[in-house]
Amino acid sequence: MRVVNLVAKVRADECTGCAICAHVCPTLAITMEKRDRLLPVIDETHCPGCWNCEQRCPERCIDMVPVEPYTIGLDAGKYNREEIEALCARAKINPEQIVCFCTGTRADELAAAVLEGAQNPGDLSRLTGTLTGCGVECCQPMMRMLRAAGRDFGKPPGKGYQWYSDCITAWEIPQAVREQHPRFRFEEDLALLNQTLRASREGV
Amino acid sequence: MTRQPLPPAKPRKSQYGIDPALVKMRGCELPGITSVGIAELFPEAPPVIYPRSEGDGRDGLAAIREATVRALENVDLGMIKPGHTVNLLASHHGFTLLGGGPYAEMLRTLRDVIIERTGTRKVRLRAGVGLRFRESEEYIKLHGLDDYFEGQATNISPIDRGVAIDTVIGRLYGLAQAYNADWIVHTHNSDVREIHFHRQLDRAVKPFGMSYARIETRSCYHQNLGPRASNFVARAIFDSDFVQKKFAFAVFLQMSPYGILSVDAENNLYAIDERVNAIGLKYYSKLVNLFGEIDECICILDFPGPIPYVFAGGTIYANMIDANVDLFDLDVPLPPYTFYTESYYTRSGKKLLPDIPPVNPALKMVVHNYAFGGYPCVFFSKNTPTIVVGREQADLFNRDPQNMEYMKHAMIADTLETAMDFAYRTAKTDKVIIFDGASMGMNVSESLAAYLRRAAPRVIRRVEQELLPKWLAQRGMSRDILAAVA
Repeated sequence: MRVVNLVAKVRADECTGCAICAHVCPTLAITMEKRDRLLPVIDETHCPGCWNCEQRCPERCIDMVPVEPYTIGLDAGKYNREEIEALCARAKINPEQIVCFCTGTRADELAAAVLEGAQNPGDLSRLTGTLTGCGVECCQPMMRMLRAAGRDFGKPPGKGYQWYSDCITAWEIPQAVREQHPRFRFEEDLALLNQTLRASREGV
Repeated sequence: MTRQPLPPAKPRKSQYGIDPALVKMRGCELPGITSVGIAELFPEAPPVIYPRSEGDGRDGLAAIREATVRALENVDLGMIKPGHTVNLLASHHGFTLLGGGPYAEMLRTLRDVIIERTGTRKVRLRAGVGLRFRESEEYIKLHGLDDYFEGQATNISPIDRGVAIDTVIGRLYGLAQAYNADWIVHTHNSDVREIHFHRQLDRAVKPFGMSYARIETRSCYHQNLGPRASNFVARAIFDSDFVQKKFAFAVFLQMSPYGILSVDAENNLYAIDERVNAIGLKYYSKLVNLFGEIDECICILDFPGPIPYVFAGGTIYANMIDANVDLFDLDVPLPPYTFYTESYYTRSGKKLLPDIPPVNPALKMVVHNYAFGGYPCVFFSKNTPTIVVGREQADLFNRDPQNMEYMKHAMIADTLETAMDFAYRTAKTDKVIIFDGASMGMNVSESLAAYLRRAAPRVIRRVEQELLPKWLAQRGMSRDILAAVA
């Protein structure tokens, strides 16, 4: 669950229209529109207050302003549990596992967002708040979940670089690499990850 | 005679922390606080080039410059021709060590030497960050590096434009601005820092999977491969054709809990890596093991950095959280704290697996006097009783998108004194350790100082006789390498 208590505001008179803010917005809430010149327009209903745009604006012309707090997130309990578990199994993530350390979002909530219709990481961010905290650590589980659902999420719109692609997982490490570098404990870590997949939702 | 407390790192103005003026009292100003020197606990103290002892009569940073020039004498720079572009790849970490002056001086010297020896003037600084996307910008300004690099010093962040890097484990992603040069020079340090992540495996290579990498790569490291195997990510990137064609050499500040041992430079990064790992296993391990000897304590966080990265005695608080487990032992799969571990707690707070170790049970209370946001820290306030000093600091965390839940699990005290009064009465211990960045020693309560002095000899024996042979064998390292870093 993500609490939103700030949103981004652009000081348009200082903006050069470089579009970096639009390229780094995880919820795709910023679009560049032609006014007297090219300027960013922020869709406040989807701004999660993540600070990405503020942090990367070269002109420092974005402010984070307070709003009445509200939350982003889905109740995974309202979705078909069998479908959620099947999706998580294909993504090789325990449904109960935390995937976002900033929002505490668990894999079953990500799966619920996919069932809700999320097509790409931007949709997942809008629905669950993932990738709107540190903006870094949860991106692979998000893309793994989308892949598991057969979503070909492609590239972000325009020239954005909110995401590129999912990367290798423990299950796909080439045998030659495992054999050549035993000190990295590939086999043992794979066994550990498999153990977490089999673990009960109730925990121990 | 009771030793005076050591000077702590000064509060620093930063967008990630509270106004330094709001830091009314430091932990070391509390009654009953003394200090213990690292050399007093572990007398094998090697000579250091920085800080200099009082009365030495020399500017400490001059020693860094001299050592950098000397270290580069044996490095081949012949591949860099006049007109070539060179990116010095740096990390925010180096700027958090001993005030950051030594790392900045190493970078300045490196620029000067490259220009002098190769004839190119196109030497640029690219400084990476962790999860605070403008942090290195603050250090570049603080140390005047933009002027020194003639406007060519840039903060790079993991959400910046990427570049695909094909590796032996598939496609990973680096930061375009890190690699947009004919040559790259890897500049880092051997500070042990996050043992829970790197496990002293390829420590010197790690920034290729972090500071110079995109979010996809960093997330792959923290979520896709497992707690030890993930360290292969950086190696895969470094060994890729893409990076090898650009890699010129590496320069490291060889850190220790005693201070800076040397400046190390080589064209072969893996040779440096072996020495970095030797320093970790030989020097830092004893301090971390000593943390593990503490049976009960109150920790005061009091440093201008994010919670897990506040320093005591030259190592970080995260190593205290994990001190009940031997993080150097590669047979241990999960530390008490790492992102993999954190993800394996259920909604009800139970563990998914029975053998996940608990957060160090010796931590009876954490007093958060001064620390930055900009790192996901809910796990810490959830798992250790925490008192935050001052409403402003609580507000800072409530505005931080990485820590919206942190204060749900922490209490607020008006002052450090009232926080400590509560901590002493509730935790029922008078052992206090302060993570305040004091160098070459630690600020602790008198009771803990006496306890540490008694425990240190048995830690030395255990590390030297039992643990080091196992750690070295696990990494395929010879004991001879330890002599090379003495």
